[in-house]
Amino acid sequence: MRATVLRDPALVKAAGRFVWLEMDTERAGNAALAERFDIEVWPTFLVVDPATERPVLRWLGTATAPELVKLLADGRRALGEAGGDSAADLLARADRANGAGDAALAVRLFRLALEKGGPGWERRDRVLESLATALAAGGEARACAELAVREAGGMPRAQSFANVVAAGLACAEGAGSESWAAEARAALEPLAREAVALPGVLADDRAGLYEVLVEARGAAQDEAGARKVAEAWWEFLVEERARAKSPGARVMLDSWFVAAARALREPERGLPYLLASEREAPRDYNPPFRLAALYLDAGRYGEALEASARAVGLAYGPRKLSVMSQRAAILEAAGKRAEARRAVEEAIEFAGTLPSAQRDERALERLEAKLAKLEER
Amino acid sequence: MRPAPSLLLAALALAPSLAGAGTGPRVADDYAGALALAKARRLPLFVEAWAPW
Repeated sequence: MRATVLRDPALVKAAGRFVWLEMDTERAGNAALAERFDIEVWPTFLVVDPATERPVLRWLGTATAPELVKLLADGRRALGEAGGDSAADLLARADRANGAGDAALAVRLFRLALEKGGPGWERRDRVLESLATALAAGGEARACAELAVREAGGMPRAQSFANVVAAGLACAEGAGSESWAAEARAALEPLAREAVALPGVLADDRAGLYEVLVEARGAAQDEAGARKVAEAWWEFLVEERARAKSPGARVMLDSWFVAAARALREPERGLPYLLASEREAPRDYNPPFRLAALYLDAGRYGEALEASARAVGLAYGPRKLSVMSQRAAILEAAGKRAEARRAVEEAIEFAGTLPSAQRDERALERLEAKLAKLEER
Repeated sequence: MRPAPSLLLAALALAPSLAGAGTGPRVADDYAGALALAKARRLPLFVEAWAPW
C-alpha cells in the first residue's frame, strides 16, 4: 500500500488538510505511542484531534485511495460535535467511539447509521466494512460472519465488498466446526471467488482472499480443491509481480509468495522471486528472512543459514526476535544443537533490550521453553 | 539560548512540507514534531501506523 495507494495524487491532495505522521511501529521511539493508540493491525490509519491527542477515527487494514479520501472527510466530520441524529452524525459518533476503542458502542452506532442511511446511502459500503472489522476485532465472530452473509451479496463489486467477504470468511473459519460457521463458509466462498477476480480490488487483499479460500477448502477436507485454488493464487501472484511498477510493490507480494508456495508444498517455487526481491531491496530484512523460511522448508539448511545471517544483520525492533528465532529453528533442524541453544540465548538477550511496550511476553516464554528443551539431554 | 515555545511553533508552522509544495506536511517517526505542527497550523493529524513487513 505504501508503494502504491499512499502515493496517489488525489489522496496526497486531500491529506494536505492534515499533518500526516508516518509511524513505523517497529522503531523503539514509537513503541509507547503505538501502545497508547492500541495499534494491533497493520496498517492502521487514525485521524487524531491534536487538542485532545485522541483518535476520532480508526481504520484497520488496507483501503484504496478514493476510500482513504472519503475517510479523511469522515475524520474531519468526527472532529466536530455531531450531536444530531442524521446518518452522517451517527457515523461521526460511531467513528469517535471506534477511535476511542469502545467497540461495543461503535458497533451499535454503525448499525444505527446504516439503518438511518438506508440502502442508497453513499457511505453504506464503507460503514459495512467498518462494522465487519469492528465485530471481528471485538471477538463477535458469528455476528461478523452473519453480517457478511446478509450484506455482501448486495454490495457493489469493489474493495469494500472484498473486505467484507474476507472478514466474514475469516470469522467463520476461526469458529471451526460450528454449524453457523459452515453455513457462512458455504455462502461466502462463491463471493470470495468473485472478489479475487475483481481488478479494482487491491492486490494485497486479493492475495489475502486466495489464502482464505485455500483454508476454506482445507476446512472442507477438499485437498484437490485447495490445490486448485493455490495454483490460481500462484498464477495471480506471478502476474501481479510482472505488473508491479516499483521494487516496493514487488516486495509487498513476497509474503504471499511464501504462503502460496507453502500451500502448494513446493517451497522452492518461491525462491527466484525472493532472490530477485533481495537484489532489488538490499537493505530490507524481509526478503532474506522469507528466503530463509523457504530454504528451511526445502531442507536446504546451509542456504537457509546464509539468508538468515543476512536478515539478522538488517532486522530491528520486535520483528528481529522472529528473525533470530528462525535462525535457532534452522540450526536445530540442521542438527546443530549447541549453536541452536546459543541462538536462542541471543534472542532472549535481545528481547530484554526492547522497550517494555514492544516486549512480547508470550514470545519470550516460547523462547525460554525452547531453551529448556535444547538443554535437555 | 532555547527558543521560546511560541517562536518554536512559529518556526514549525513555516517549516517546508516534507512532501513538497502543495501536498501538506508529512512527518516521519516524530509524534511530538507532528503534534506541534498540527497545533500551529490548526490541522488534525492523520496517522499512518505501518511496519516494514
